[in-house]
Amino acid sequence: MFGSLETTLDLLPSFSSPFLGLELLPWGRRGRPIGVPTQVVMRALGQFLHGCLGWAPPWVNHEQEMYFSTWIDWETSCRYPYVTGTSVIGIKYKDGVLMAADTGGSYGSTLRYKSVERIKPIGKHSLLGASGEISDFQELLRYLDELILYDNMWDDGNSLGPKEIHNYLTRVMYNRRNKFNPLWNSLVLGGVKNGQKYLGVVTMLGAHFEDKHVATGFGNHLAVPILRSEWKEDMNFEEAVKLLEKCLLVLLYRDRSSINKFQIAKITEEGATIYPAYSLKTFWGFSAFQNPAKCAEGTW
Amino acid sequence: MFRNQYDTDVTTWSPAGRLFQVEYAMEAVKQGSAAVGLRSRTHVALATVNKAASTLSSHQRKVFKVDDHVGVAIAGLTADGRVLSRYLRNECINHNFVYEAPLPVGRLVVRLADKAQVCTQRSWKRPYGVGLLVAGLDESGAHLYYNCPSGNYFEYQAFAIGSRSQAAKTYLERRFEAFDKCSPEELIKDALIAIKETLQGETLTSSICTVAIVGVGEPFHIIDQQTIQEMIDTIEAREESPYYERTIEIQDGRNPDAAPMEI
Repeated sequence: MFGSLETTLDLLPSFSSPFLGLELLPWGRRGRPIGVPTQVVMRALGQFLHGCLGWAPPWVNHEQEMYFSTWIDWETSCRYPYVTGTSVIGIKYKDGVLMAADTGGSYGSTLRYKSVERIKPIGKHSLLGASGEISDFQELLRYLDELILYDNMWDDGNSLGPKEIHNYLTRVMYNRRNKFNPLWNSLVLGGVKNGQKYLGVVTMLGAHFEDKHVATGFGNHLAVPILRSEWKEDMNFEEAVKLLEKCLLVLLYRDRSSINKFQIAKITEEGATIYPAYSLKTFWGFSAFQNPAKCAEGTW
Repeated sequence: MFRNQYDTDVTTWSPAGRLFQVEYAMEAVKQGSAAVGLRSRTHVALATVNKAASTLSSHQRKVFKVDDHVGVAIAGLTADGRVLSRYLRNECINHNFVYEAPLPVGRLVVRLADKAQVCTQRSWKRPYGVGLLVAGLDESGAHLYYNCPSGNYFEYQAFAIGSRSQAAKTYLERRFEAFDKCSPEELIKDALIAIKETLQGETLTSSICTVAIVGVGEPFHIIDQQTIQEMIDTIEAREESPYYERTIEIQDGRNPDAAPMEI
């Protein structure tokens, strides 16, 4: 009877399935697929023998075997984001880089947290803004904290500039994605070092690029078209802020996860400044919004 | 320096507070053929004397490119030098991969020094028998460092190591104040003259020396033989002129009891 049973090696799954960790029709050594009932019997036999005798023969499937260096746990890997921030916009201007983001943290469709700072200074030369999972952003800030700390400890006149930090973040994000455990963020990294302005993006998959104006999330669809037509080289601070506010207003009207509380941050050769949060004036007095019950009796 | 009962192990201190094995390793550097390095504010030049084991064999490789912005010249056990160059190259590549920026020379040199120090504090290891002149360029300018088998490193405006390097050092000491403003060509000429000093009357030809340079707008590269020979010819022509003084070889009159590790 045992001769015809498949051994553990035959039950080698090429990927694990959510159903009891059993494989849907894996290939057996005899070249025939092994059905679930056989697998159940093998597993049960293994557990029975292991319980009775304290051991089980190696060809009986009684312990999970590690055939991979990382055994993917589908329940916790590739997690879903819980508390998320929406778009971040960044533009280069005459003195450096300007970034803007709202201060909202959404819990699904609930606008749960209204004072989340999503743009932080990194070292002497950079600003990091993030959209996506807030806890992953905080984790990244801890990594960067350590990085900047060790960099400062050298105390040798060298410091990590925005390009280096951008590349470091790319490596971190890409490596996490390769382990099927991404940091669920889209990052905007802006900075100035030795007169060179730098603005780049890293996505949760580790894709990275540099540009004169960038946006994440909904900003890609709503803000980038505005920036493409109205951004120009060497704008002064006021012009740049006006452009950003224009984009932020559109996002406020059209992005349901944005709130009317924004922070603008700038980075120049002198350093980083994050301005206190403020609100934009919105206008809802459109004629189409007046008297909503006009065409639909009983509506509200 | 004579044999004594405290020199068997690198982990044995002498009563005078010296580690003889480390000092012997530094002697190995002095046995190697000469290498000199000198820097201006924007460029660093390295030059070495290449001795061939015999007329049939090729010359020893003593200058290694570590990265576009860093190179080393070695003196001493060339095998150790080769291995350490590989380590330096690895460090630069790894840094470049993560940060996409060149590794600052000062940090590279500290890592190398820490690696050398480990070998002076393990009973199952021996110190590296090679001295390295690390020439590099980073954001804070041009740098020349000397890494010692003892795990020490110093930054220099100009330095020479290896056999008969004292002659080169004397020449460099006379001229170093002018180096900051030198052009790259003048730096190379000065390097060649310094090398010539160590040769003690032997003719300097481009086949027995290697010269390399790194600087602003110039990645580290070894200069080709023809250019070197032309520069040597220019130097020889200048030697005819009366104001060029020949240096007299100063006997290496060091106190044998002084510990060289602080040097």
